Amino acid sequence: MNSEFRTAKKGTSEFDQLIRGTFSATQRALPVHNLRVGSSEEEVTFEIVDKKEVKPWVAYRGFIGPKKLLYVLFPIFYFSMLHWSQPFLHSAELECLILGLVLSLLAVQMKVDTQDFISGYDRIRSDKSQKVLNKGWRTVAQLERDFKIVSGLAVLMSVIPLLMEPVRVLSLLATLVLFFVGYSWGVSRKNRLVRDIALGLIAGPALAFWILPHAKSLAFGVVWGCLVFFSLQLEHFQHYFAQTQAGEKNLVTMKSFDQAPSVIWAVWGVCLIVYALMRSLSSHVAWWGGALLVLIVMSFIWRKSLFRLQSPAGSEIDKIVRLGNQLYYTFITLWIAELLFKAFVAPIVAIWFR
Amino acid sequence: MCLGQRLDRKRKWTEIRSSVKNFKIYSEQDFPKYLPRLNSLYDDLFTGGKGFRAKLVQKVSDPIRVPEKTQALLAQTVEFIHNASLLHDDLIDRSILRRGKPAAWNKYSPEYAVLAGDYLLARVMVNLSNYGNIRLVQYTAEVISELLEGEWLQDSVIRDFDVNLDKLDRIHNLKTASLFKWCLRAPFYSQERNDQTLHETLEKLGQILGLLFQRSDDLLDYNIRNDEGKAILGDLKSGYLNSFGAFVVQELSPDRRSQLVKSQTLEEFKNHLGGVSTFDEKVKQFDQINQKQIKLYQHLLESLKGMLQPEEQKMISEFQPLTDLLYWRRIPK
Repeated sequence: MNSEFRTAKKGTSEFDQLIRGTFSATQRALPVHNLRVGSSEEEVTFEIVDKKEVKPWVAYRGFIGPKKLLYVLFPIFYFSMLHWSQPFLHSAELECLILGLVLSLLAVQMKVDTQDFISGYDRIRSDKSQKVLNKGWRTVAQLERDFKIVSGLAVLMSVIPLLMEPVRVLSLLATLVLFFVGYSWGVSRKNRLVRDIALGLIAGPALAFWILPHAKSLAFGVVWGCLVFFSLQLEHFQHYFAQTQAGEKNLVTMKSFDQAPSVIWAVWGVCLIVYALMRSLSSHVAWWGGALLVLIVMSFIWRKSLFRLQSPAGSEIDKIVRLGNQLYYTFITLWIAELLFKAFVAPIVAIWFR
Repeated sequence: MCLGQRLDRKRKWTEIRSSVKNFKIYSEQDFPKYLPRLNSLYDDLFTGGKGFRAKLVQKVSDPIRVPEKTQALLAQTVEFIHNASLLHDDLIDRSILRRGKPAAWNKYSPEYAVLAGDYLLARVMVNLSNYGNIRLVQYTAEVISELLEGEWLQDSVIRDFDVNLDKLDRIHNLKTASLFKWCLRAPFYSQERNDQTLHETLEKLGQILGLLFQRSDDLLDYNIRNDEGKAILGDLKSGYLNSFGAFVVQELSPDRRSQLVKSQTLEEFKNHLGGVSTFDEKVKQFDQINQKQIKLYQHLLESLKGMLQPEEQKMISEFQPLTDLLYWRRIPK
């Protein structure tokens, strides 16, 4: 393993070249030790390594994880399926909008990650989930160039729906940009509870009400907001050890490790109760009772291991979070299956029986 | 390594040990005479220790001209904290031997072992408070907290054979590296040298030394550079997957992993892993990742040099061979 180390002080041209990755075409500088981060005295030690062959999709997978995409795509999918015969946006508009949305997400993430890396926050954060720049998959200079291309494409994709329905599209884009800026901003702050609640509200009731201004949309939004909030708490739970060490605050780390599983369990319980309430108001139990039963059975299996957890530093917590995520995805999958059935199969069956 | 070389290394280690065999960092006056068995318990405990941490304190203190009395206080402090942790550690692990002799809990009683450990920590606070440097007292209390957190967390991952190296490193950073960091930083605090850049660099150097020491100690369990004759697979048999174990099992399937951790002998372990050559290759890879830490350590020493006065820079040459001693277990030239 050939590696060397170089230390540079902020404000020097060497520092600038190393942090931006422009010092060499064949090497990458990975920050391994940071001194006085954020001050004018900042000094960073970089490990100089040979550039590894990294396919761009591997690098970008870190930016648009399926989880984050789902937070905003599921409500759009939900209402598209629910009103399949009377779409809330025309199909071409919707396709452009979704593509524009994905690209906007990518662009916002790039911008925030670049800023956090240069400011030093990403270099010292505890959970190390931001890998693209820290691992040298891309350099700051490359990412800045990519940002220009991706944000340009995002604007281009938004032009068609924007011309057709400017007010609605602009207000949606504003809501979504708010969501992603809020998400990325919150990631770099120590108190994340406010961010989590805000994200739940934006991805849930706010987005749903924008798509279809109706009380029923709000009901869906509350359920979805709770699920987004649950997913964020699971993420915190996985990094409980590192986050509590770093003094980061959120709903989970506000409690002791022994009480944290109860918090997770309570949030999940709220999701199920709110779901049952919302569905009982809007449709027959035959549509959703089975799904709820499956989820309840799975939840109690999960609960066993959740409350048996021994250590925040062991491997068990990763397994429990994986199971929690499975539960979350099962919830969504069952809901998607029902929506697809209602949109495509049920009308055929109805015609057949008629 | 041939038998002759092994014997030679063992002889050198014995020489080093014997040169500090009677390293005694306290006087009987430090402890009340009316407490039964306390002094004999401490005699047993402190005799035979290498006093490495005290020596590290000395290596930092000398160049920055820490008065001898203060040096003695610092050396005593770190040895008291370290030995308190050993008293508690042996009881937690139910280790029956310490430095070749019956462990305190085994020879006296578990109650005495706990109290003797607590008493050492209390003496540390009394002695440092008398010295009167509040920053030093605060920092020492933080380090004791970290040490205990590390012990606690380590106990919580017993019988967890899927734990990853990153999480173990975090535990070792608390349990092992905290005292190494203290050895490097405390002498500067005692001289009221509280510069943030200096302390952040010393913190990182201490972290690397602690990490290397722990990883090297973990390799002894697999009879790698085990000139001290430490029990083979002791950690694994007591349900603790140490850093080398975690490194080795990380790419194995759950079935192979569960077979491997049940190994009763090193031969069995090597066979389950895929043979001697696979095992040797893993050791080589593990050495490589640690070699990178050693390079970083040497690089940071150069940064440290720039933070010291010219007459203090001899500290750097004292620090350079430490990785040889702590990781490679080579006697520095």
